[in-house]
Amino acid sequence: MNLSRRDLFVGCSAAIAAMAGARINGLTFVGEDAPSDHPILVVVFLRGGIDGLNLLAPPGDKDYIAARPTHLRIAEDGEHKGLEMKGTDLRLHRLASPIKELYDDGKLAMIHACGLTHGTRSHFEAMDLIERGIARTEDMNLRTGWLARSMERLPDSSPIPALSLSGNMAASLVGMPDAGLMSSVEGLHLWGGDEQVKGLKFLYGAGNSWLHKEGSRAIETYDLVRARLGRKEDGSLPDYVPEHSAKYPDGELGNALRDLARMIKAGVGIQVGTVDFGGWDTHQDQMYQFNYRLGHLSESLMAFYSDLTSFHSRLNVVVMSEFGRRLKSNQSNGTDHGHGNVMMVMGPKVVGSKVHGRWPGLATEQLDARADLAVTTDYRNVLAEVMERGMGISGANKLFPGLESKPVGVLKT
Amino acid sequence: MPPTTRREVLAHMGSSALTLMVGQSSPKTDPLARPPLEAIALHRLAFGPRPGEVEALKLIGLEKWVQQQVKPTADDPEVDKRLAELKLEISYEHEGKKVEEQRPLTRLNATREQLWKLAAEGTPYEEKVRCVYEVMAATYLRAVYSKWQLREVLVDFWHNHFNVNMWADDDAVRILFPLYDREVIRKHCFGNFRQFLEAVATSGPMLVYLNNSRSKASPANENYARELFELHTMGAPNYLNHLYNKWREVPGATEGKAQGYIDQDVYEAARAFTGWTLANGAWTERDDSRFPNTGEFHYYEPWHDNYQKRVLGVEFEPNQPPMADGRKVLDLVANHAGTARFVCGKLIRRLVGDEVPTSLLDRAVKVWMANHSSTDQIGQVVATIATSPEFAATWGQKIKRPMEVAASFIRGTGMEFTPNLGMFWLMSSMGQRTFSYPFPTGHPDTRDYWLGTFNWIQRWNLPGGLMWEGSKMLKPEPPKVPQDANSWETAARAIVLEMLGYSLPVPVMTGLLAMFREGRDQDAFDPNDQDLHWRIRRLQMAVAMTPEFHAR
Repeated sequence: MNLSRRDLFVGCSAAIAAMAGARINGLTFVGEDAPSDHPILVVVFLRGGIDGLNLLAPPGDKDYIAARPTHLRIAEDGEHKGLEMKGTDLRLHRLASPIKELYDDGKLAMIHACGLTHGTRSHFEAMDLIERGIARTEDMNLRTGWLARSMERLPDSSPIPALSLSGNMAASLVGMPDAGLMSSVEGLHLWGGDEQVKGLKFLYGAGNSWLHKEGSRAIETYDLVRARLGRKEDGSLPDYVPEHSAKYPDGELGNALRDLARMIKAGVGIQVGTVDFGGWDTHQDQMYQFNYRLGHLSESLMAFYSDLTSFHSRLNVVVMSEFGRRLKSNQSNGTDHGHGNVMMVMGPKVVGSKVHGRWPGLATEQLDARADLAVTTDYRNVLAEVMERGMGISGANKLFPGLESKPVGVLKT
Repeated sequence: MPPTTRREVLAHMGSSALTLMVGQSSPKTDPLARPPLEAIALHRLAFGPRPGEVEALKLIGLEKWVQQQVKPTADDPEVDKRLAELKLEISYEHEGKKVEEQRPLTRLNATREQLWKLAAEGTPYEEKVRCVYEVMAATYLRAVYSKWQLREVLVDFWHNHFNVNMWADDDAVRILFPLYDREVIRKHCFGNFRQFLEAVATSGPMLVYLNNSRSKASPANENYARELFELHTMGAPNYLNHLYNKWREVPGATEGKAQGYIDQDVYEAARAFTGWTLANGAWTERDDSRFPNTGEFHYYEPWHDNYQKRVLGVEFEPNQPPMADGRKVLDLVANHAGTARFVCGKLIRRLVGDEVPTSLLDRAVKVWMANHSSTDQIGQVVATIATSPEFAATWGQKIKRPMEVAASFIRGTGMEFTPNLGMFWLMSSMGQRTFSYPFPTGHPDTRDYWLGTFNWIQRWNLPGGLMWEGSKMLKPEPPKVPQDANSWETAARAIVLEMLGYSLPVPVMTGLLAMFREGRDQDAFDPNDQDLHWRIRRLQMAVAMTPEFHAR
């Protein structure tokens, strides 16, 4: 016996469908069309702690120069010369020119020296705090992610109000039972295709228990999403053609953002999407890893934003990480866990071409614990502003326990 | 008019804020037909029936079966044999050395000394995380093959109740995980709750995960103490901080019998646990000395806050002997009536259904309290629940968790199962994160959590995902043709009975039967026909997609 998974399913379901015949009755349609003008938020989480001091930094700062070899910092000149940026003396890493382009066009804002006000340097603890939207371990008994709480305050949309494009549900969405999770658009797939759908409709239409109803609802949602994504003659997904000559780089983030764009365009009600991009924990030989990833990040963001040009009036994007890295590099040509970091925000109301937040300086006495970039902006004030001004949630600071409303000015009112 | 928010929609539907649309969509539904008691028991007190088990259980009777199950012995030959033969892949590159092998389980039963050697500097990460992977593989294997099924159900329950996330930022969690599973969870799952609590409180993984290993006077780290009250013992229903902001106001407190807890109790308890740490060889940060480097629990007096304390209205004198303060807190919370109610309620929610019958809860609490010093306290409570009329009367309030779907499919079809890490990813894609739920609560135990569209799709794909050659978990062997099957109909019925322990409704069965013998004459049934093999597998997959198969 050597059947492939597909053989089994196709056979199985085709036969169920055949025997089901007329019994497949019209089930009521689950979701009315999603309102077509709701704002959308996409959160890109850079797991591992991106080295913000190698992304956007003061190239001439003597403390900066003294702390790192040239290949781990942005220079004024030479091979590692940083890109000059409007309205700031800070410079951007040379491989991030797509980000500079978005920034120069006023579409993207950066916030430096931003992060958790809690002093943890543990990835685990920092992500745990950030995804719950809290700043103190005393609030750890909050069991929901900040995005899950935000969803309660957003308009109803169906069938997929929130979608995590990753292997695991983003913890920021935990607490929202109908948040969607998929590792790729291809993953939204019943192995037996249409025939299996027919078979399932028969099995779940044969009774009126809550399980029958819930299953039927899921089948209809699946049907709807697949229909919105289009199909080839053989029932498979058509190839996706990004718009506005967007070119997604091949790789973790490029693929995830391409799939997310596709789902957003499918009009299935997505108001919040999350994607992860890992590998930023560069304790050793940082340059190779960092440069590759930064290039991929920049190109992916550019492609995503271009592809979704027709959504610009309502699309918000936040790029964040759990913490920055130490000012002084280590002996392994890497950097260790630090504190303050860069955040990036895109959206129609963004005050772009600007680096927001107060730059605290890099002299030893200006550093946090005399080692790391200090945090002068609570990351939650940025998120609250995005939720309030970008997503239309009034009093959004209340999503974050104990957060005092403090405008950062990244978004216009 | 402003747009209607999700919260408003939900409030209108009479649902709590975060119990979203799912499960609420249909105001009028019919109950699922209740199967025979043996089938109910094997779906809720076990990971589904194996062929023949319903009949076996009928013979011995539920009462006796449960009494055996709550006192498991070391006798589990099928698991022993399979664990001894099981190999799990490990591959990595470390300092120019390439490791790529199918390796037997060497960590699962290792001693603390053996495991702690992995804490040495320079040990590759893959060798450390391997300790958890071995426990995972053994967990999946036991769910399918252990004769002590109720223990496996309880082990899963307690791993969630005392959740430790394997990805915590300290390798000690991973290295010591086999001990946490074996010496804490498995050892105490039917035992005495007070002893269980202390085993958890002094275990390396919990000490590290909830930061008590770093808690010193002062201020103490409150993380563990808070979860001890809120999750491990008295539970949120007994958190009265919003009602009382002075300890004296809490009913019973002035007599030393506080009915609930408030923040002050958490702060004071946190002080009681200062100095409870892990012997991990770290600097003591006090003088020029280090902790012992053994991976054992370590009480470090200089970190302990020795001043007087007051917890739940009970006064603690200053300068107590080593660990006495913490132990006194454990005594207080373990024996508190609120704890009995909270934990018994959770057990009933797991073993019976989402709606906890008050009558049963009252009886379980009584047994719990009466046996607070018995060595089989939890076993007695579990037996009370499992043999209750409420247990027998309840069916289909819950949906199987992904692990239950997978294990019951394998058990019901009798396929040969060899676990690997693919199982972990299959489960994760359905929202069940083995040993890695991100919050200390463990997985929610109400049905809403499992009902998203994507979860359903993965459920329906799961049998195929397991049987797919690439998963390497199920051997593509021909299935057994049911004995005594002499027609398409008797064969199909037998297969459904083996998987579910009961029959499907007539229209569904008619449909499945048509599929089973598709293209064949009604009379042309030959049990030796090779063609029957894939027809049986196909039928089994279809059964696994029915709503009935997912009910528990």
